[in-house]
Amino acid sequence: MNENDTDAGHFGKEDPGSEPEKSSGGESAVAAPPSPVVASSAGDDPDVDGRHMGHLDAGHTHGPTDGQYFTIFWVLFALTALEVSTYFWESWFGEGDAVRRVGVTVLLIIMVIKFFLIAGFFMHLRFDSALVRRVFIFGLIVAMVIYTVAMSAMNIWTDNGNPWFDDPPPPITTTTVPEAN
Amino acid sequence: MADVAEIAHEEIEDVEFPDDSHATSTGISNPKLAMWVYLASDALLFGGLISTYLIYKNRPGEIPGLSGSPVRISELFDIPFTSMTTFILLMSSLTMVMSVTSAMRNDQVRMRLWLGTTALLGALFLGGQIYEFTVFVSEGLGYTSNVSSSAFYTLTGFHGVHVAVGILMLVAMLGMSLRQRIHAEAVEVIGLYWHFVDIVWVVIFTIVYLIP
Repeated sequence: MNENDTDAGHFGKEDPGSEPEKSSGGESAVAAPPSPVVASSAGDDPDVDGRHMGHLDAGHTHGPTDGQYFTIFWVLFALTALEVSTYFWESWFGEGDAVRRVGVTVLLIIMVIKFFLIAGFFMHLRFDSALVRRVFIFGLIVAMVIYTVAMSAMNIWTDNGNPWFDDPPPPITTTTVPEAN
Repeated sequence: MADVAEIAHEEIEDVEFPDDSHATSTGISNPKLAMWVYLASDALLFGGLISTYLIYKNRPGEIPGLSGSPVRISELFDIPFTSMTTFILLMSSLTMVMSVTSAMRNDQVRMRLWLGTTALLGALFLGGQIYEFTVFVSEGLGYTSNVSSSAFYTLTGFHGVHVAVGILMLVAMLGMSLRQRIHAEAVEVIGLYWHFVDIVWVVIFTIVYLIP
């Protein structure tokens, strides 16, 4: 068996027991087989006979289907539209601290939901090995901790634009002590 | 006899590596694991750039000894325009995932179609970003105008470079697929990179553009 044989076996062949519509319209189903290697090796080479088939191959699906990917996309689309709408909230509902606070909260929640939808489904993190999940989440948590500490050290939460990263000095308060008679 | 031994060996491999991974100690192929490690490190890079922007965004032209423009970069944002480019990048994530599933089904024609569409959408996004930068510069806010504009251009510029590199990878893969059969895992690894670029934009769009 040559190198190409191994490659073809990796993702190259439809499962004989798979549903026919999975590949309908595609090159592998309608026209000639996608590669001569796949066509010639079907059935007689155990290495090509589905041993290394991809996890989204027909019959071996344990990830989202095409329809589910489109559903996730439309959910992301709607969430993005809601995000953009917050930009106009002050003109719709009037300016105010409450509107601004609700807007920022909604934006942060939507951002997190979108983040995990893309990472979980489009990047296949929900269905992949636990190791990649740990690697990615570890990097994410380390980044968040480091930069939260760094921003806190520069008074980002209380500072209102002081160039030297110091809070303005606290207002001097004086108390008048009544004179004793 | 040798054939029997070979088949037995392959059955053992099936048990140990039932998925599409090669025989690695982690059970995940090396390119895929390398991409995930790279993405984790890239999260640190973008975390630093986003934090820098957050620290400097309200400090235009206020550094003593420096004569910066007092205009904040956020005052020039065109949210409807940036929203449109955001939708374009979101669509490119869908076309990318369709390309990966096509490659896994060995549907090379559709894989090429989706790869090309993804590259095109990425180029549209990048064009939008370049246009946005041009408008900002024409309004008088360049890279060195003040610290908030420097932080903004560095952050979004780095993201733009990532998109450009992604487009190059997509086009290269498209060109290679015309000459030889593309391994599905290669498309999947590039897909991971592309989706990560989209994720970073999700964060940038919310934190930089939408939160006042």
